[in-house]
Amino acid sequence: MKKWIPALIVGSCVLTVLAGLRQPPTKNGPDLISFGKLPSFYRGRVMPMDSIARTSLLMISGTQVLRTPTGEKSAIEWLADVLWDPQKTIGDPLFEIDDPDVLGLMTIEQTKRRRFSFQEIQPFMGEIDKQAAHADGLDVSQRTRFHNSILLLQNRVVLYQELGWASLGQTLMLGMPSSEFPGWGMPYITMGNAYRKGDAARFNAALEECAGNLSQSVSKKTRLAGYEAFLNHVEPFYKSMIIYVLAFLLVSFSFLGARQSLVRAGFGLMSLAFVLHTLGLVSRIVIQGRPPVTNLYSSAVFVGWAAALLGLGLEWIYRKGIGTLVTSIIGFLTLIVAHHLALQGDTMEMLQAVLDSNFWLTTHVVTIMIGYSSTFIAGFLAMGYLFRRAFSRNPDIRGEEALETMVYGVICFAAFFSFVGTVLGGVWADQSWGRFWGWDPKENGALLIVLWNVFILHAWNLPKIKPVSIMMMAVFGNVITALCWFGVNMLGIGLHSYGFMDKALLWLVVFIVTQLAVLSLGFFPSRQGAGVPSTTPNSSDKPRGRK
Amino acid sequence: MIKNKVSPFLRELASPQFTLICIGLSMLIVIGGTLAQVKLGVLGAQKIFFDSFLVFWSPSSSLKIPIFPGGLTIGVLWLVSLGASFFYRFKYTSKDVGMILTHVGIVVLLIGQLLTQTLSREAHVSMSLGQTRNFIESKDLELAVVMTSDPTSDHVTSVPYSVFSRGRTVSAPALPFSLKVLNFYTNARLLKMGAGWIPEELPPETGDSESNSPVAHVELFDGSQSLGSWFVSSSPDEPQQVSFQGQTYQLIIRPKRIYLPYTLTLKDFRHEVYPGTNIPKSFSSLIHLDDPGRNESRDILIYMNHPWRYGGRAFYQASYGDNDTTSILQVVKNPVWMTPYVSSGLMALGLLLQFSLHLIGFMRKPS
Repeated sequence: MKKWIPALIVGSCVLTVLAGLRQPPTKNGPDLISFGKLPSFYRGRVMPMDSIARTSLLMISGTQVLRTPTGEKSAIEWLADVLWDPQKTIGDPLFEIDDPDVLGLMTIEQTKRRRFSFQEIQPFMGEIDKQAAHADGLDVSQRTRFHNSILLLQNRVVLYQELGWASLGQTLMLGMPSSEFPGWGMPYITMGNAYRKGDAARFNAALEECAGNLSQSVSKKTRLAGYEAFLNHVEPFYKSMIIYVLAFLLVSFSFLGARQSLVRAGFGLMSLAFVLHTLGLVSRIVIQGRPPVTNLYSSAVFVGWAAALLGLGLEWIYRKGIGTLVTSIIGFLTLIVAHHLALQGDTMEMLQAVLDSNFWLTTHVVTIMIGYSSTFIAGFLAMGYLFRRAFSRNPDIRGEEALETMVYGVICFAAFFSFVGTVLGGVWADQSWGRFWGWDPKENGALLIVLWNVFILHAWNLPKIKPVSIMMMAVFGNVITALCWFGVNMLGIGLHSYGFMDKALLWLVVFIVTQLAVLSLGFFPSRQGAGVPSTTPNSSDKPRGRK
Repeated sequence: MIKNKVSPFLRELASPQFTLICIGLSMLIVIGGTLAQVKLGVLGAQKIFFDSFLVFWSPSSSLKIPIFPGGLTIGVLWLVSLGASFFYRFKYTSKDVGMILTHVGIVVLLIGQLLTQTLSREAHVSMSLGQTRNFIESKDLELAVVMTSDPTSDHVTSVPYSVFSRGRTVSAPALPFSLKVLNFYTNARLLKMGAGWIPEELPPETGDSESNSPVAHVELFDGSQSLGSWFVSSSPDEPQQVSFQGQTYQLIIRPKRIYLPYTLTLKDFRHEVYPGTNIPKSFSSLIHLDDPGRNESRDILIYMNHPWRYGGRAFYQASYGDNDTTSILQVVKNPVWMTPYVSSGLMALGLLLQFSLHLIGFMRKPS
């Protein structure tokens, strides 16, 4: 009976995912889904209207769906209103404002309500501009929360106005070299008029004409834009994030009972999440024409992906559930980090000149990210080891040794990739500014990860050092990697700093504290063997020579 | 006899414990040096933490207490420990080839970095469109005495920073007078006082973006007779003119010039952005090289990630200015620039050998 449980769980998830691929067509109204697929030129790259809509809405309100008192508005519906009928959007609760002082400036008391309409903000625009100009003149280190928030609000209002309110589609049309997009022109104007009048038939006819023109003149860009819009709809990263959690839960429950079937179901879900994750990753490579990692967002996506791949490999070899357990957490955590990084804007933004080298992005960046990823896997495996040692009364020396071997293997892997990646980074630096090593914070961060992995490998050979200490070191590897990956950006200095984050600092601290807490479990005596006669050797605290 | 005393000591240095100490020290110095960059800037922190034998803590300006070995010390310690390991620790069997290769690679890398930090010279050249240069400017300073009364010839005598900051009397055969630096201010500004100037000292800048404006108080002598004293600054707006024996001389502090046996002319500079954004897409400089010595006369395109190596120097597109009409190239002379390439090749090969052996064992284990 138990045999079909995994098949059932995985099967239903696959069906749900497949069902989500379908995009319900619009009935008797303007066909905004097709409109969302049209290619446009915005912020330096070709993107579908749907991506403009989602990125802008995300940057202004922090969500991809606008919740108005009259119902939900999808991003593309909102954009159509902003472009052609902006009056309709001035009452929408759009601008996310968290800072009480900014609200106070507009004589609004802070309540649970976090989003405010343009109508509410407009009377205070003069004051907002004045305060923002003052904040803008301050040195970054002197800005308070209020200053940052007022600047953010001003940017959001500018973005909103740019899109249509002040200059009806001007940005879109101006930013779009007409030579590159013949076919937009007239039909676009017809679409606008028809949309304002509520003439769906005329709108759809003009849209069809426009799409036809574009697919003739710029067929590849049109296809890619359509695909990107489809990908926006599928949300592969969001879905795989949820499935990673499910996989994690299944394997966790397996420790209570129904072990084999749940572990197998967990493996199945892990594979499904990985397939979705891969779909998203490969799609981004195709759309951008770039290697997978080009910015902080994509580094998070890639680290999670590499972890999932390695986790599936570990699970394939060991079939104990631990590979799934560990890498599903990493997959989930990295995707949630990516999810929040996406709030900063277009995740496929163009690259700064110095980064514009597909060769180095492929070799250096990808290698180093595999190094980060495997260091995390070793750390999370070691966490599993420490948890078992502290809480399980069941002495399982073979399981423990298997974990030790896994951690050792993964750290070797991590040492190799982080080392090669760091050296390739040096080679890139030598090629681009004549310094193999410049003691730049990001370089130093990469070096620290290499040194720490090498430290653990050398400590391994010392018979004096107990396995549990090695495991604690591996967990500390998580702290170092997180600091080098994100903490370095928060230093806000150096040639490599590609994003400054405020809230992220809090989460980084939370992550580090949890890691240190788990690490400290190693200081307590093992519970394994408690209740067993003392003749049984206490495995984990016994020093033993290793190769 | 000596060997017996040294050998146990070297054995100790070759021990795995000492390796761990070296790695640990390196990590600590890297962490310290990185955090210090917030206040000191990348270059400032590099000087104190990585280009030094000892890291000092100075609670007051007169007190300097060494608290940690500097990057150079740790590098040397590590090298010694590695060297000793080759004699006392490593086993030379076929199984360990990968491991040995890796460690040879590390030795090359460490030596290369130590040599780079001592031998490598960084300079820059700034050219506006159409301008021809036959010199590059280093980060060091020099006190230049320029004979301005004869504009057709280029009579420049310069005194390097290392000399003039020490308060010695300097005489050069090309100069009709000798000069003595009475006082030197790392960062100061000159204020007009009547007919003369007085320096107002400013706190030295340490960040990466700010630079100091040094001022020197210089006294000139004709033989043993004083000609008077001048405040010399680095600002072109405050040059000091000296007339002597019918000639006019200008005194100025400026980045040290290194003259090249060839000339470079900036023919074109391009700075492209992605349409509709301010994100730079590319920078490039079209340079004309004229090297009569080697009979070379040709155009060179220098752009991001594509430096140009010539005559032992490498030229990189580093920066730009004046509304995209000036291009700034970084010029690096590093005789050992090849070492990282050699060492990383060795190490990558070694690690690959070593870990493939491990991986095979690792895959076999569960069955």
